[in-house]
Amino acid sequence: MSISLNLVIYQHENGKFSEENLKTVRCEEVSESLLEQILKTNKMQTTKVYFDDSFDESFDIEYFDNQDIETILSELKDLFTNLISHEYSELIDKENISSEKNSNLKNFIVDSTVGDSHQNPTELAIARFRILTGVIGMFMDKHNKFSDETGAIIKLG
Amino acid sequence: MCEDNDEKSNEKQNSASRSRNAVANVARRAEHSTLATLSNHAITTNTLEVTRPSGTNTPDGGHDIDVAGSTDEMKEFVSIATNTPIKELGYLDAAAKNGKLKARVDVKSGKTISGDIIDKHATDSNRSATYQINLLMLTNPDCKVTPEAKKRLKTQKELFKENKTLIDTVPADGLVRIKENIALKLSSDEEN
Repeated sequence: MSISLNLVIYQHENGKFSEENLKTVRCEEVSESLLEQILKTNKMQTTKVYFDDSFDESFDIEYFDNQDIETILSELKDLFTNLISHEYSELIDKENISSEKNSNLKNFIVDSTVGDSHQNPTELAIARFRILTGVIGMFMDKHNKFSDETGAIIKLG
Repeated sequence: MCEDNDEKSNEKQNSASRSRNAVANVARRAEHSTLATLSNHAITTNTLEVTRPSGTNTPDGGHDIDVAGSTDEMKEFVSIATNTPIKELGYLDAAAKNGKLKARVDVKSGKTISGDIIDKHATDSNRSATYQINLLMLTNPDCKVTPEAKKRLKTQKELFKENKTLIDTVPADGLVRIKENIALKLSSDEEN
């Protein structure tokens, strides 16, 4: 099962989005648990996207409000720092890593299910970094390259 | 007053979280239900193998289910699922490896397939170079495919076909056709 966050650019007119000639800038897969972590302090908005500029038929999307992007980016960077610290501790001090905080941190990024204990710890660490840095990269792109573009939004895929 | 607002805000967040959990559960069930249908289809064939590459909820590059088998039985499966005549799938013969084809299946249970979802499907398909068939299986009977998504899918289908590879969506009635075909074959087996 995959959930993705997609950075897209819609046509934007009079406060309305339309999908015709949409640009998909990048798509990043996100674990359910990392999405939940972001949503603990930030909520997604719901809006209509019209099929075209006749503004007749539409569909609903969930997206992050542009004014929340900087806050989310800051929280994700903190999470990244904590993850580095956690992985470093796990690497050099395997016997002292059983704190609840650390185990929560793991689960924030890669969801634990039955059978995960048999997965290679290095591969799981790589997966945690890959997912988190992908999502951070998307929020950085939105913040740095498209901050003035009102039609550019990060939506749930 | 302020506390009231905080409580309302928390309740709103909790409600949104419950709603998202419900959506995740629908997606998980859709994936298992599709897996069961495809496995039942495999029972009626001689070569098809249906597997689930990942048992976790970890992001998987749009890779929920694998289907592999002989070229003829895989083309028949795609023909039923996508309602495409088998003769129009002849280009897949050249892509087969040792007489076999492999399909990557991404299950979608949402209400809408929009243009960006097709763009991601194409990207995932390009990254899955060992698969000759890439299917987005839609399980919601009311799923709406937007005009922009249809336009993009048409373009991508032509581009992938040039590389002897198939990219497509399977609407919910495609899964119904697979179930009907299973029932037909099983009743025919019983008669024999």
